[in-house]
Amino acid sequence: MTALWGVVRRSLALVGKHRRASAWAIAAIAAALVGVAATRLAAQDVAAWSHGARAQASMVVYLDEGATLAQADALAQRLRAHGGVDGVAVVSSTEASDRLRVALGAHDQLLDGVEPTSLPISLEITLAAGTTDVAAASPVVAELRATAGIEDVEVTRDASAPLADALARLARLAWALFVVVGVGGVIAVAAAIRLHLAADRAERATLRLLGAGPLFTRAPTWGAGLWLGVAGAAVALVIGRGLAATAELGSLFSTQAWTPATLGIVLALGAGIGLAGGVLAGARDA
Amino acid sequence: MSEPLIALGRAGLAFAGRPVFVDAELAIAAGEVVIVGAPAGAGASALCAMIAGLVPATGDVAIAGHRLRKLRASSLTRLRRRLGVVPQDLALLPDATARANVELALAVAGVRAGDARRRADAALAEVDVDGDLAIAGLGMAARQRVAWARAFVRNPDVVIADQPTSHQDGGGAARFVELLAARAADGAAALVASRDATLAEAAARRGWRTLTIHQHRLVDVATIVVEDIDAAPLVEAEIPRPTDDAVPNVVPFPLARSAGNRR
Repeated sequence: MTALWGVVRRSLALVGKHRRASAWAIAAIAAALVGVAATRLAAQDVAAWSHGARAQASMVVYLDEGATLAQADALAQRLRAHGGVDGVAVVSSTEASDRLRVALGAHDQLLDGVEPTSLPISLEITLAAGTTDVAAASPVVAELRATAGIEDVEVTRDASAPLADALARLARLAWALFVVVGVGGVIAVAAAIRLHLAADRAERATLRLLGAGPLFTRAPTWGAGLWLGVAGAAVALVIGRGLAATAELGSLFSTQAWTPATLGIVLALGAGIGLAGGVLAGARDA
Repeated sequence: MSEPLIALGRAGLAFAGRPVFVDAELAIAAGEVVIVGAPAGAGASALCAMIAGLVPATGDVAIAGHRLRKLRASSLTRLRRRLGVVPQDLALLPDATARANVELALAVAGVRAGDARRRADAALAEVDVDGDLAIAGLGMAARQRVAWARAFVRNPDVVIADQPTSHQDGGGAARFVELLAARAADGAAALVASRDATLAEAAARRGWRTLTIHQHRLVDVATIVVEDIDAAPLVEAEIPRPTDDAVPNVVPFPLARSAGNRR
């Protein structure tokens, strides 16, 4: 315990001895974590948007007037079995009427006198990404159009298809950015600690003279890296909290996602970056 | 007879291709003190560094029976904790207090903080230095005494000191001799490199061995022989003098020859 407390004390002394270098290291780690978080959150937002876009019907099948919900369910079951179909939702006449009222907004009085049951039952079919154009030419569509009880089949454009590549690139960019800024953070911490070590070369020579082992000499540098990493993570959290309050980035850094687990991950990442920097810095110690 | 605590067997050291020591032979037993007096640059500091295992040497260098060339790095590190070293540059931490410098030696040896502080204070009291003072604020004489305290605080088996009294007056040097004698009485072996006349006198009074470095060899002072001058040739030299015809313009003088000065 005495030895551990000695390491803690000496590592904190190392951090405090060269405050400017330590401040730069903390700033580098905080910037790394904020940058990575922003990229990952943006990627998640795009993914969610893309999923929502695809969740809108790629194909709508309108049933004839008089068709029953049971018939609609049976057709939906048949279509779900087809490859390339992500999902099928049955929209009843009542639901269609409600949607129309919402869509009309202030002009919903246009629907006064219109019986909800007069609106056709429809099937909203979500096709797999990239299959909409193919589906349009598919014999399934022609078959549907020819099926009794089906008024019309409407195939809508897949708005998310052009974004699939962009999403994939953004996801790769997020990981690449994490690696780049993470390595940058490690280097910044290592450089800061190396500054300490360069100035304290005489101290290391003294420790060698006194018979200090590698653990006695290196452990404080590891500890210093750890403290710098945790401090950097704390600063990143403060910056994120501040950004969450801004109009431009508030939605990106929404604190609704700040669970204890998330905070723990950020602190752990910062500590990991700092510790890696400290180990790197101390690797050439005598 | 017990094994010597410091032993050199045909030990040699070279630096930048130039020999510092050649075939050094030495054995210092427990309780024995050896003073090495040599001119500046002769290699006394190198001898101390060699024995402390800080520089690689050829031949055999053994501390407490452990041959340094055979030791792994970790074993050598542990062995250094049995040494009390006073380097010529003192190797103190200037930003730390005197107490912190002495405590560091104990912390390296795994002594608990409370015991380390108590022992450091006692060691500093022996050398009359206030433990709360920062090294940077002390004069060289006081810093040197802090280095003594750090060297002796662990009750070392072997003491190696390089010019330990270079900044001391007669009283300070005498104090070092007392401390050294006390450690020797406890069974430590000591090698001190020093040009201080006080130490030389103390060595003579206490019967400590005195060595010197002569032609890259560690030799007993008594073994250096100066040859008798016999029929030394006269050397004529012209020495400029004021004009005076009554004074001859040639002054003959004998040239003394010794083993060390033979050309």
